[in-house]
Amino acid sequence: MFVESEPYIINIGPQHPSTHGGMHVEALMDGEEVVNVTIHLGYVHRSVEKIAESRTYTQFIPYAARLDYMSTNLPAWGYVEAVEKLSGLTVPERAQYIRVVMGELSRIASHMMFVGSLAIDLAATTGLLYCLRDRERIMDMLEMTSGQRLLSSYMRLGGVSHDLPEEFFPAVKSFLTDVPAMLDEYNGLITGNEILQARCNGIGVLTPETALAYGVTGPNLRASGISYDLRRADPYGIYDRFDFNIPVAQKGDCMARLMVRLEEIEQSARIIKQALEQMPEGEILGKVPKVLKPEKGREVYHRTESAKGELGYYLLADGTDKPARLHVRAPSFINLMVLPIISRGSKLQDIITNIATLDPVLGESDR
Amino acid sequence: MFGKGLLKGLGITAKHTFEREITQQYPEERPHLQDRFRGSLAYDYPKCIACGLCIKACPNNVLTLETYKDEGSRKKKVAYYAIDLQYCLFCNLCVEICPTATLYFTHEFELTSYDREGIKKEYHRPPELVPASKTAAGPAEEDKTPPGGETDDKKVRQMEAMKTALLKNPAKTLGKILPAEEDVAIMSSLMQEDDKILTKLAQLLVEDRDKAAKVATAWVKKGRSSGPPPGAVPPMADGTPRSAAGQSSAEETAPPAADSREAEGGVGLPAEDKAPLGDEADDKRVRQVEALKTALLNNPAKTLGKILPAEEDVVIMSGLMKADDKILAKLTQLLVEDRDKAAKVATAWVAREKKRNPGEGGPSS
Amino acid sequence: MENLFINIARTLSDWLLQLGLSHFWTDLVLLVVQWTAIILIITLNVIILVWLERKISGFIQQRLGPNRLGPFGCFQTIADTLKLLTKEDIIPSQTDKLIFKTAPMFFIIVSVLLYAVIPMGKDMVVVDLNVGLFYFISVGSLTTIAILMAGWSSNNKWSLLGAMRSVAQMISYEIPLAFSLLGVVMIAGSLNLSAIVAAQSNIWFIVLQPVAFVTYFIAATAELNRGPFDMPEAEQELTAGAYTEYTGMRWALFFLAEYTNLVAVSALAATLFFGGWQGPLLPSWMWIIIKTYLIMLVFMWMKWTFPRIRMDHLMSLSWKVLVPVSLINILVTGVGIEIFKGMGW
Repeated sequence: MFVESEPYIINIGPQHPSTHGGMHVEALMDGEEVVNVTIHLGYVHRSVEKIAESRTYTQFIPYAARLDYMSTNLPAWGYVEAVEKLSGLTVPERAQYIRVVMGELSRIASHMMFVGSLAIDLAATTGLLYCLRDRERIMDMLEMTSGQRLLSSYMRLGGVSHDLPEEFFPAVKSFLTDVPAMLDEYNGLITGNEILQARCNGIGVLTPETALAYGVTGPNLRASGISYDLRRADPYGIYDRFDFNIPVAQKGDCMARLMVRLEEIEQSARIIKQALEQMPEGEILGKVPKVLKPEKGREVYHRTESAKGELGYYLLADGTDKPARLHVRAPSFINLMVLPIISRGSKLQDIITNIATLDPVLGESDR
Repeated sequence: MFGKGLLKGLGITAKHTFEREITQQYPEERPHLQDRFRGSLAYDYPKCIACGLCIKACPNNVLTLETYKDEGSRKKKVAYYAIDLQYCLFCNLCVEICPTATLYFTHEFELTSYDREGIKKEYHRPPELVPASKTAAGPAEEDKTPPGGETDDKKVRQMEAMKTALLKNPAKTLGKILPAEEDVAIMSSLMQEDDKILTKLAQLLVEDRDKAAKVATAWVKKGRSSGPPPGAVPPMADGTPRSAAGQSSAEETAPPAADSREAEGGVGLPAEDKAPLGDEADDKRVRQVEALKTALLNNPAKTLGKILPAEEDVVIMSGLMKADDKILAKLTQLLVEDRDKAAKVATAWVAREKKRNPGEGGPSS
Repeated sequence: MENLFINIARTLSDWLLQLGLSHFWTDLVLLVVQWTAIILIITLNVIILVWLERKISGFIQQRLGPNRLGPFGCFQTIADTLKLLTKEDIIPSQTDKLIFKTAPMFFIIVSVLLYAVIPMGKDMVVVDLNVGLFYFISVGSLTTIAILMAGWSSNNKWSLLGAMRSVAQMISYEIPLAFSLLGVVMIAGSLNLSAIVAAQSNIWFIVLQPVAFVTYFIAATAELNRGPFDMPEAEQELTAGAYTEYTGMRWALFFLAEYTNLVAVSALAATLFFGGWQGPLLPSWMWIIIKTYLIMLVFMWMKWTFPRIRMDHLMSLSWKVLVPVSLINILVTGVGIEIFKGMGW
């Protein structure tokens, strides 16, 4: 007798324990095997780009910080640099260094959250708690510097809002000393675990060709063997002054994506160390006109390397104090688009691993 | 392979099982907040000069300001101010732009309430400050200018605007007529000390800028030889709390003169001279006392911390304060009049309370 | 102390006989009393266990766990139970109502039945079956039917998938589980659990059968649907798996049954590999409780450390590793027994 089976649909999200926000993944399944995956987005759409048109250039900073709430300083940094480019503002040296320090701390926080959320998506709850415990120290540093833990809105046009407080330096130093120990712990509990290795090795392989064709950027691209990091490829700010490696993995699977991020934590720590050594004294806020009115018709596209990939801002000025148009090239959105490709033919549980390792943040992808 | 990683993982979790917990037992154990922590947004009524900059800076229309003008005065005053915290992004933009540090962030973070109205903070003009004629009218939006004398009117208006500009941002306006930064600082402190100088300068600036520059330079020379150096600022006399965030941002962004003006008494209405003198002083006092009372109730730790060294004492004192309205009133008055005395009295109260119920650290409620 | 419970039972039966009841009725009443006692103990035990698990997970994660209600939060589970009891009982409209309602009851009944054969102390066993181990394994595998009933009747794809996983898991892991226990049976020469305990009076079987213990432990974790083998629940991909549609007390019954199973399986492990109720100084029933709890701690420790294994890896682990290993173990045990016999032990 021949048993006939037909594919069925399993909905993961929008309310689901492991979708990293309001995301709906519609999986067409054949038994436990994935036939196809469709992503439905827009549950966290806040029309941020439209909001920008009714806010002045300065007023949009807190909204930019809310794009990628896992590494709040990085999207805000990209935005202020775009506006600075648009209106030709200069940023004092010290502010540049502070931005690097705070930005890289945010990147570490985001990657720690990545490791933790991967762990909990594979049901290793304790892994998440240890990552959160270490991330909390970064949050404390953000709090003592800017006054807020998560959505600090610390960047300002032409600089940053506060200077680094005195208690920041010992805190960041002890944190940097502890980074290797933290990574050891993650490697022992999470990366070194055979069950996790079995669930990540060779799963969700993203070939370099597909990655390039889909415009995947950031750690996801570097995990596929392409060494492309805007901090090196198109240095912005003062990144050309630091000595750091760009971690690259060859396999393009979930394990590669995990390893790249773990190594990036180390490299970010290196950058912070150098930035703290080189940091000069001086102003933290450059000369900025009270009302910023870039010339009509000026436009700019500025891209930075956020924790998730290439985060670009397109700004068009219309001569008023508000932008005529703002567009965000959200890396999370673009990276997420390869999910169907890397998930086809794998198991249901691999979809979860794939979502976790693509590391989307829905605030940014839905905007 | 072969379970080595699994065993290592088990070892790590076993090790942490016997370590001390890292969590805080929140309601009993209060979080350690950093100095710059941005909790609730607060507003210091007497300091506000109704300039409206915060309204413009706010990205999300959180703030509302209604103003009125007293009869005979062209100075805008605050009739009503509201902070609708449910929309607040806590972005610090309003605090940074505030020229008088009226807005500041407190360390209060428990902002939940049962309805939307509960999270809104409103500040009404204290009733004792409302002139008799105005009580019925409510918050007037704008005074109507009397007809006739158009040109005079224009000049007066220009002068008023100039005065406000000089007070709000002396560096910018004075920078145009005085080259040296130091001179600007001296001039602005002179200006704030003496209203006549301010009026004269504003008039000159409106009429003839070159002349204004000359006169200003002369005043500065005189001021430098006689007046106190602008850097020597007496300690704040009013004792009204200001968040560290607000203070530091004010120091960073505002010109140096801002400090000396604040030092004048913390009340940001220096140009108000048309009311009879006695009334004005009383008026000021009442407002200070009111503001201080609110501050004491809203954030006792901050204000009391200045007069009581031990944290435990602060807790006891704030408990006493809340329990007895008379103590609160007395303490506020003392704080406004004489801080040293206030400190002594507060210490005595705390000691008495401690004796009455020993062993009890918390507030006696 | 040692014969505390036995004396109670004896006093009770003497009293009943004095009342003029026949032996048949006395035994029946005694059986009812014993079962009631077991159910009460199980319920109380689960309340303690849930609290313990939450505390242990808290300590592992450098938290405190429940600490609000009562000393060290020990009344937390009672409060939770009260909450579950008072919750609205929702039965989705498209479910197969009869099966949906019977599934949790079936599950808990099967779990409680397991206790019939476990010796809770010296001469303390409800039914001293001569095929006790066989009974335990066959009744234990019935729990899967309950999960399948729940998953099927819920008319929900998550539930069905969870249930199907559970069935696949059971079929794969029953075999290494039974095989791993065969080694013990071969040495003891009996399927009667009391006899197996008695056979360990000189040396615990964990020393003689370490491989069997490891195999049993892994297979038992899978049978219990506990992490890292919690396939039927798999909250990350299946929300709550087979239990997705259950609320209130019906859901709580599943919860109760899972913990009941955990105790039973741990008690069996203690009986088969750690000398059962045997131990110095303390009364025998105390010893089995201590051993059971220690084994359960290991189960919890594993759950809170490991990520969940993937479904197909689970299968291949069973068929490619555990089954061959347990078969080899049987072979080695058989040869060993023959050698020892030949040496005249």
